[in-house]
Amino acid sequence: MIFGVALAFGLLPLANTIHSVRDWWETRAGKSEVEQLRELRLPWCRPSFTDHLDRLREVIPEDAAILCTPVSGDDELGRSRWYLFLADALYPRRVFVREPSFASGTLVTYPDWVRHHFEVIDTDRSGLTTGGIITKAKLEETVRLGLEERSVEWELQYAMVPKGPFRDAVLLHKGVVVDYKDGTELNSEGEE
Amino acid sequence: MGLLDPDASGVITGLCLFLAGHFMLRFSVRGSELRGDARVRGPLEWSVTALMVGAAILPALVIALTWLFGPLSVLAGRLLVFAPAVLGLALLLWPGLLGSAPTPGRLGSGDVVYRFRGEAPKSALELAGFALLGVATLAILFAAFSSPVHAFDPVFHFAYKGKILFTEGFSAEAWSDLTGPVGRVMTHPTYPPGVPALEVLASYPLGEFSATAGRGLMALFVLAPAAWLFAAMRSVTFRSGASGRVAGLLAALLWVTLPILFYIRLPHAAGGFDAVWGLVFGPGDSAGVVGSPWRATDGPSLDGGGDLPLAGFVFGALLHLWRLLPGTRGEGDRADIFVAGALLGAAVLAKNEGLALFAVLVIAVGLVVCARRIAGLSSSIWRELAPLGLASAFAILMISPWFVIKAGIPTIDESYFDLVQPAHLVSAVFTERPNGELSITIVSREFLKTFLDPLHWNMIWVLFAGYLLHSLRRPVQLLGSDAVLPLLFVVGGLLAFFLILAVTPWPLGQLFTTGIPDRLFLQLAPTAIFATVLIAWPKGREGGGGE
Repeated sequence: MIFGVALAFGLLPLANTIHSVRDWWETRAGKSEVEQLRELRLPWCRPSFTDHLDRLREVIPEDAAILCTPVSGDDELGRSRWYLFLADALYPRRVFVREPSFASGTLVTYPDWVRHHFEVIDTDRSGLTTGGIITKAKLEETVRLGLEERSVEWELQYAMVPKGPFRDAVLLHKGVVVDYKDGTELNSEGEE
Repeated sequence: MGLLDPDASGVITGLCLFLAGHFMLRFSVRGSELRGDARVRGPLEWSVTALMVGAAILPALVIALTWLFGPLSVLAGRLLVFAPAVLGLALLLWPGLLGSAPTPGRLGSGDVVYRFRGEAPKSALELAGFALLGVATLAILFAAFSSPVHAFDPVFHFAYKGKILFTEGFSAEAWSDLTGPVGRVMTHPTYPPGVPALEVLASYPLGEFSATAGRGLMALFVLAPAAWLFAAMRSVTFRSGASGRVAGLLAALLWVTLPILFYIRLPHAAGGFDAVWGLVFGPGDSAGVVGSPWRATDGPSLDGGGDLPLAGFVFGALLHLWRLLPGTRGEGDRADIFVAGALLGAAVLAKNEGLALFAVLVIAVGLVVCARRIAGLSSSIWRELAPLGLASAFAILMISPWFVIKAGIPTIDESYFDLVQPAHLVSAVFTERPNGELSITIVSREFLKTFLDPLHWNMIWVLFAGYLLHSLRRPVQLLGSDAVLPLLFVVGGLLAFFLILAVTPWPLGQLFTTGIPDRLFLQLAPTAIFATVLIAWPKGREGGGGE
């Protein structure tokens, strides 16, 4: 009898498939993959992110390397790992970050990456400690040399927040601001 | 962009994987055929095994060749896809190419491969079962092909690495330049790249990397275990005249519908009744998914992640080793050693958990063989352990290029190998978490809650636990039965996962929002179903009802 009950539960998904097929037919059939993805409510599929990507792809050459720098924001929960989404979406452009070992780990190491930015870039606007100022001075020189060595000429500065991280984003090429938005007000709101 | 659609590229690759696997399988069976002891493999079992062997070995070759020569050119990649397939096609068209020894039909092995006409369904129940399996197969194919790859792990953890493998190979800048103040970003660079390599392979006919090319292949990892479950249960048909097909059908159905249940987003928060209502009648006001542009398919199964491939590979490895244990109802021959080894290697390359499950499988087989010897149920330990040793050696050969590469990548996230060392283990298990509870309490509660949720698991874990307790009443009989290996493997796997979660540095509440422990249990689900059905339909009574 238990097998019968189990089988009955097993058959429920088959009933559901009818709805899935209908949903697909009514809302997605015939749409391109990009169009389908943009209808999803995932952070990396939202227009607030993808509109910026389109512009960034137009401006930054495919063989370029970009440093992603959060300059404000204080999200420690991992909802603002925009550098991961940028690394994937902008590929083959190579995306670099500071302290990649913290950024490349799991959510266990991500808070260390955030704290590093609190300490040396003051993204949370809490002010740098004396130690932080010294660390920053030492580190930034090492970072500069590291970037030179890796031919990283571009930098994208954005906010370490879950929604609207690119509202005030700034793109730099060799330290000079590039108007990648081309004067257009891009969709920067993080809709839920 | 090439002329092909990414899905078409995936389908063509799937066909080539099958043909390449057919070539390898035909060669591995040949020795047994010449000796006249090749076991019976029907066309369905043969086909899915060939596909899975191809899907196991060719991605491992992608990893090895990329390691040796750097990223493969599209031409070299296409050669890798098509050249073994041409050999397989030649053997498929002209089975006699291998010589004058007894040659079976095109798909299958053993003496009675073409006696299938007499094996038509014997009852309305069987007919219904086959019809449902047909519907379920279509549902799985639809689910696999209809959604773009979009969930976090499949996109950023697997497909991103696929892009890098395709374009840059294992370049130092992308994989190991991680410990300085500035460097590239890659999630978990020491994670096995089997799934990315499969996606790379599926992209070669297209000419550029596309995760979409690999999405249809995910269906394979649902359908192959279903076919293996059925083949294992009904294989007694040929020897004893009894039919295990009802049990085989039930097992296949229990498994094949599970990944769909996982894949769709159910309104669990709205309560069980609403969830069932939403499942059957579609999302309504009470189902809690109003406003969703379409029913999201973001569960961890057919999404392009590694859990489903691992489930398929590790179950296949276990099943083929099980066939070689004395006293099992399924027959075995030497080709099963090759298949088990290939699938075991692929399991390790699919996910980190693959290595843990490899160890659990080795321990489980070793324990069964030794315990049977002690109980006087077997005569030669070494003869019974030999298939495991050979399969493991082949698996280690397959995975060794990756482990050489891995040795050059700094470990930047949690190392569970270190965490489960005895010195750390005891303190970690009995350390209180921030909420004041012990890890083992939190993990036990989450395990229990998950096991008992039929909207995640049908009744699979309830059934498994029931039959486990039932069989433990007669331990010696259990030890001699053919259910003992899968049973021990599942229990060992669950224990391993329990330990890993008990020592993880992750905040457990956060970890449980990432599909864990469900997706860990998914890796063991086909084996749990297999063990349950083997106990419910004991050897020699397959034709009767379950106990």
